[in-house]
Amino acid sequence: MRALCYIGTNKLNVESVNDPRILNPKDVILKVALSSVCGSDLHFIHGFVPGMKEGDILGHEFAGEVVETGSAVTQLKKGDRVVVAPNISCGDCFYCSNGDYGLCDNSNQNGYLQEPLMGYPTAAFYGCSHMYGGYAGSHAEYIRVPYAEEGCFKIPASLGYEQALFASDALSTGYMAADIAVKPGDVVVVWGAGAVGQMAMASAWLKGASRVIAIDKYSYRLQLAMEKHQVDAYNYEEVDVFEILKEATAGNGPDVCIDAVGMEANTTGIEDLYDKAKQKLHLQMDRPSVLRQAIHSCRKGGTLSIIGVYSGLVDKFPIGPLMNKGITLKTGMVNAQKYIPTLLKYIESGKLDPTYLKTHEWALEEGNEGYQFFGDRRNECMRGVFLPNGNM
Amino acid sequence: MTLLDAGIFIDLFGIVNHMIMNIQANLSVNKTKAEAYQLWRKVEHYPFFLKHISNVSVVSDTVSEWSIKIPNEIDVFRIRVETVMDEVNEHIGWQSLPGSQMESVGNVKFTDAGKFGTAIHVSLTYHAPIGELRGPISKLLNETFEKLVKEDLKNMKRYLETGEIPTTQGQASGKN
Repeated sequence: MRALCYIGTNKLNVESVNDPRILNPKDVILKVALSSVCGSDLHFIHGFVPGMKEGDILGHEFAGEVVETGSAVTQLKKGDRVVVAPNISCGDCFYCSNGDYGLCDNSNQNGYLQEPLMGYPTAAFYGCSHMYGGYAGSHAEYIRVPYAEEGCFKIPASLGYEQALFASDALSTGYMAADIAVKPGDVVVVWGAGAVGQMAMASAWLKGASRVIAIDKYSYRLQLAMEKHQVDAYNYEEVDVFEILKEATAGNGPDVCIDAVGMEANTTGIEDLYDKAKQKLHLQMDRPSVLRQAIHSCRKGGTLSIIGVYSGLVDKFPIGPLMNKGITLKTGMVNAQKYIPTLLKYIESGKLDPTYLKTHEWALEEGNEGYQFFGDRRNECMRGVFLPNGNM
Repeated sequence: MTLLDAGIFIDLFGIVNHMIMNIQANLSVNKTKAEAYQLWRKVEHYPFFLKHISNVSVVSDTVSEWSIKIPNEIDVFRIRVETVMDEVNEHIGWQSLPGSQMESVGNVKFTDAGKFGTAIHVSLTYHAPIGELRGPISKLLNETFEKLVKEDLKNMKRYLETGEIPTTQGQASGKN
């Protein structure tokens, strides 16, 4: 089959690879209908996450049709249309049993690579660094899905692949950002108006927010956030974010600050240059400018919700303000399996419609160029989606 | 640290080197003590999740023969093992019998881990003759083996909780 593979930093290629096959009894094989790019893919492609290997197949947000089932699979059958969680989780360990699927004890057979940094390993993810399991991703004609009955969710008959696709990751991650932090009446600020940030804004309203504010620097994303989610939107290059948020909250600061940006955050002035230089020189793994701004802006006793992806260590983290202001920190890799059933119902009922996030359709062969302009925020790209098998 | 603690000593008569591996591990499984005990009681299942044991043949209810691989990919040691402690749902202990190609002692205990299920405490000692390997090479071998056994024990947890061991061996890759 054809698959979009990581060759090296900033280099991808479509390769002819072996078809996936059932390796364990709980596996299924899917024919991929849609497979989306994600901002976290850029971290791998840009070389900021260790553990990528030549030949790795990228992609973790996908939907498709079941074409083969393992011997222990009873709830899925050939022909089922499913959307799949981006994290691979067993469903049986202590963490999965408690809904913390992103912390699965069992799926990441390479967990020993994470232990020196993290102490205890996380769940595995598709199309990701080998520190996260090294499982082949979905930018391919077919994909193997381990623990399939935990990770695959049947798409209701009334929905197409396109409507269900983003329940996989962008929506489930954005929803989690709000679910773990927002209480009715809260003023919520979302840094990052990309796909996950947009879904966090929609989810903040569902959780009862009284006001939602978006911070970004790309006008097309801010415009979309205003149109689709009725938020107040600000370009951090044009305003003093702290003062704007202070003014918007009667001098208190927002109740909830959501970081939907992560490790490749941008900011302004010398701080931006400093963070980028340190990351480039591998003196820090992540750029924490959104975290600094969010902690500074958050009200006393407020909540910081981090769902943007970070990989390791940062410099100049404001632990003093975080501690002294009594800010609650909520974070985690997405527990997609916990949220997808609810989110499909929201989509079916019309309460949520993430379809607009797909701004571009690509063949796998357009992947290299597609990721480049997705990364450069050109052509007003929110999410590019691959159709590895054409229209299904 | 003694030479024994480092896992190595050289026979006083210079006939052969030995490697002593003492491995302690604690981990929890989201299962009952009875379920964990039942898995460990079936020695014939060990090769499925303990990859350093390549084969087990059951001789009687208390005696079995194990083939142990050490990670130089050459040596396989056959040992005849007797279960010397079997306290249902609590404790299993074993040791090698005379005539085995290496000596081994091991035990596994099961305790309540509250919300985490059952804590499994494993203690394993292997005392292997390893020919002419000396010094740093032998130490490296020892460390590699310890990592292998600890990963085996994680696989035991994975098998017990999910019925399978995660793998990517044989998956699609542009490196094929």
